[in-house]
Amino acid sequence: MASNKILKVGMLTMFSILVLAWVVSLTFSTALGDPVEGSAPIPELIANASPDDYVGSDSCMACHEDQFKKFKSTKHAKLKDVAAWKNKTQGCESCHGPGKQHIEGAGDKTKIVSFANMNSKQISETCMTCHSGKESHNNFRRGEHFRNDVGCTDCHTSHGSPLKNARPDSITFIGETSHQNPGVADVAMLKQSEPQLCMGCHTETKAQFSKPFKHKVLEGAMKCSDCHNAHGGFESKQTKLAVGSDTACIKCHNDKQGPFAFEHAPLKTEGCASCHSPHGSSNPKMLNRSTVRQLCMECHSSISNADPGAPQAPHNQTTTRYLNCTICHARIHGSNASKYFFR
Amino acid sequence: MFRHKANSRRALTAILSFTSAVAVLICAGISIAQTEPSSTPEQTYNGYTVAATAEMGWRWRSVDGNENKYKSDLNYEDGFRFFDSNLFMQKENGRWFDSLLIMNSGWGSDPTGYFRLNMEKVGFYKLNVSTRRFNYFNNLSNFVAINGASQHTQNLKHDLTDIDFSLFPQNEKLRLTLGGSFGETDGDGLWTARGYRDDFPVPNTTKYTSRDFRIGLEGKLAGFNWGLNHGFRRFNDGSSYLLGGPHPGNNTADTTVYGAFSKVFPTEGITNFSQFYFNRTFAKKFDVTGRAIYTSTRSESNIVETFTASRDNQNNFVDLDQFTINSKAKRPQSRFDIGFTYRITDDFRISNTTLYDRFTVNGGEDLLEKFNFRNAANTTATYRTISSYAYRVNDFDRLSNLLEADYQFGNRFSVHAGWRHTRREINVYGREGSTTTNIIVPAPSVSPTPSVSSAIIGEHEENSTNTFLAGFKLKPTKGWVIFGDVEHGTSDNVFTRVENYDFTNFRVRSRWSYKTVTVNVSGMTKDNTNPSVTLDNPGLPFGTDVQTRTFSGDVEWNPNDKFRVSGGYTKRNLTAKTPIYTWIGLVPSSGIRTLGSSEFYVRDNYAFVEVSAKPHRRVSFFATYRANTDDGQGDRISPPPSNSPNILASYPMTFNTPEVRAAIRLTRNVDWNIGYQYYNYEDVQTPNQNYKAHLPYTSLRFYFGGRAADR
Repeated sequence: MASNKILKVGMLTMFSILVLAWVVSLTFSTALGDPVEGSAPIPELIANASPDDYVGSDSCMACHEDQFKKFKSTKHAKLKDVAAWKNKTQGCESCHGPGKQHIEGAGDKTKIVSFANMNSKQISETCMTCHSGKESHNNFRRGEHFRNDVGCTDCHTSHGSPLKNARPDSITFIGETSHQNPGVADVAMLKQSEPQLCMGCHTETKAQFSKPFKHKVLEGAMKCSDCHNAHGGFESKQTKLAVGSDTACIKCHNDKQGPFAFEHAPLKTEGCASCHSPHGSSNPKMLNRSTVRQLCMECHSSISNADPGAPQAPHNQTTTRYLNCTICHARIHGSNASKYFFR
Repeated sequence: MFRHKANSRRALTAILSFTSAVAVLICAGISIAQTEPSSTPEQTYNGYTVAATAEMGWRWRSVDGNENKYKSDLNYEDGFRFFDSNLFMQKENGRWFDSLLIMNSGWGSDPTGYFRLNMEKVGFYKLNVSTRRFNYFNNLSNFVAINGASQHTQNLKHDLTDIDFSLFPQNEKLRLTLGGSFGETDGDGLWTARGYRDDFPVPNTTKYTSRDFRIGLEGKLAGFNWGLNHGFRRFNDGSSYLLGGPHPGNNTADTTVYGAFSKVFPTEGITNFSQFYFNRTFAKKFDVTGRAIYTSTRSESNIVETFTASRDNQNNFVDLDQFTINSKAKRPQSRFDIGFTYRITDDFRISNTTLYDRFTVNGGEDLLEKFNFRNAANTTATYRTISSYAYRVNDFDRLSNLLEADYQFGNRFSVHAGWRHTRREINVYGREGSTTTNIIVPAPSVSPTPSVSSAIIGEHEENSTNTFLAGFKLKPTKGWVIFGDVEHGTSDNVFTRVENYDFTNFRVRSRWSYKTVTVNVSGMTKDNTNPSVTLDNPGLPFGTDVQTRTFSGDVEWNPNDKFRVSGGYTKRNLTAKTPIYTWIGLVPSSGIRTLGSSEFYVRDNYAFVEVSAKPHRRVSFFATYRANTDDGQGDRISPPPSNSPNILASYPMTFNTPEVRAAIRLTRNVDWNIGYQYYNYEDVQTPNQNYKAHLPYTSLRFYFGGRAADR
């Protein structure tokens, strides 16, 4: 009953937000001018181009010197030397389309593909022209980032990373990438290095990774991309798989891989997050509850006194010894010797 | 009381001092915020542009309070360490490599260290290497401890190395990938062993390793991108447990005493996996991706567990109690996933993703127990042999389908909506049995007959769930983006009640930036209910309600390279309420199965402020304060377990960390750093875990490369 009420209120709120957002967006679009009108239709510009319309990246340098300087040291620029790419459009025009009309029009912005005037999905479609085909990118269009309209250039920069000069930073947390302090942002053409880049949107994770028990992401020993695939994928929460089809956790926690002769069923059927908070927690072992028995009993609530005849019945919650289930059920992830996970 | 007041005064003074320091830094920052940084022209070395830093120094450590808790949380040691040290070399067309990145940090007295290498010659190869070390320490005196000392402790070292090599990475037609991963964990600890209805802390040595190797071919054929990868993992567990002397066990009220105990369980395992994928986009309209993975994992274990010179809970003398257990398990798993997207117009798409996952865990053991004991009066000896077997099969089968559509209204607004259907089936079945024979000396008048037992187990669970999802993205201005989404439905995580079943999740994020200011705000709500009943007839209430509310926001002002200030706050509330049935009573026959409740509370507040400023050409500062307070259950009182079936729990604590650092530029290439970091942990329910840690440090940071002087 309460759930239905929540649903109705929620849906109504969401609908109202959507209507309001639409109206606001239309208002702003009118006030600021819809950027789409300022750029040429991409397919026509490229589809109608002849080989003579492509003038080469050097022609762009005359006006766009800053972008060219940064761009020339990127992988994008180096493709001109790769044999497999010899017959393809190179450099600036591979993304921005043929430049001849743009130059002849004295920099006419309607004669060139300008990404400043595209939405995230249009930009991503352009990138995916070349970047699909690898397993990590193939499901980008059906991933959570794309679904929520987060595009390639929200994280990447195709002209090279916009770095700043170094400044003093924390001694324990990994520093930001800068001109003097290089990082993965340089090679992956990211706007920032991990984890700062991811936490730019996922702000709440900074709190989780600052808890007493956590994975050491802020310290730099792990990266968000160790477990998550920012480019989509088939898994929930864009997590990665390890060792074939195991969860990402198994990559490092290899003692939990199993198979065990007696498996704790949630280990494989529900996943580690059923019991653990993978980002961080105040609770030891990053458990979802602060006491072990509470976590266990919320599933194994109707437990019986399995050991009749014992002087003090196991599972008797008045006995301190039995308040921590894993003292006896020590191999709780799975056991090769005991169906009760005793040994 | 007095001590508490003194502590509060000290804390207040510290906070005020720190706030003043931050305010001074902010004022200094505002005065320099208008200054535009100058930059020197890029220099090259043998054609390579180089940027590099190397920082090394010394960290001191002083811990007041519970050192074990400090090490469980932080584990920073005294001594020399490498800080964040990196090298990047880049050239337009290098002979051996175009780019080389080496990242290095934490080696020495830090609990975590890493070395990463990325090396690439565009068009020819790409090499990624990563080596990480984690020193993991766990020894807590909280609820897991009996009589205040933890019986599950670990002091482990994890080493993890990954190597990935790709040949012709930019070649569309054919690429070769090779990889390897190596993991090793070893160390000591304390664990518990159970015997004779008692449990004992036993020192143990942990050692397990894994070795992964991967090879793959990728390319393009008939317009389809494809990839075929194969890999295998060998893993083993060589851990052992050894208790040398007598121990009365945790239950001191019974007669059980362990004389000597040892357990070894060498476990060997093999995983082989193959993966095939394909992808093609037809006419820039229709994109299809498929993936098939077959994984086969097997493990084999031979356990020998031996008790000698013990007393059991019947006060018998145990001369020998030895378990020899041979077990095998295998888990074949198949996955087939396919997704397509059809772009009907430039603004409208529909997508469908179908996932199929199936695995079977098939395992079992053969157990032989030799149990030789004499009765308490030492008048008879019994030589008991128990031979048992147990086999289990877990079958898992899941099919999930997500149909979704998205529409773009101009460049400023987009919406999406979808429907996910999942069907899942789990079967657990098996059989077990045992035979017990006794030889009694002196032989009784009637010889005991062997007892034989057997059982067949079977369980079947099946469920179908549906979820509706929708969301939008709004871009009111060029620098402002708002994301919002909702998911409502039933989750397929229904076999564990701590997870959700009926759920409604809302999420809104806003990111606004204007020139040098960025403001992020996000809010998330999760309402999960699990309207279950027990298997009793009639079913008893068994539902779960979990509510989570998260609000997070941060602000950053970064006018130039010389000044930056940022701050943020995250609030997370979690309330979980679950009916539980517990047993209250000392003797099972008179124990009462009682309906109670389990309540868990998180009322977490996290705030941080960070300032970095360079008020003088040779001097720069960094200061931060991170404060984490979880109020937990607040004024709600946890009932003692001795007379209540209710559990009311939380983990109220505060964890505060101020840090200051000054960097003094000695030369064009060298900075001298001095800094201090302080950790204050206060545990409300188990204050014996509190600690305060002082971590001053000094270091030299060397800068190399063309833009070293610009810092």
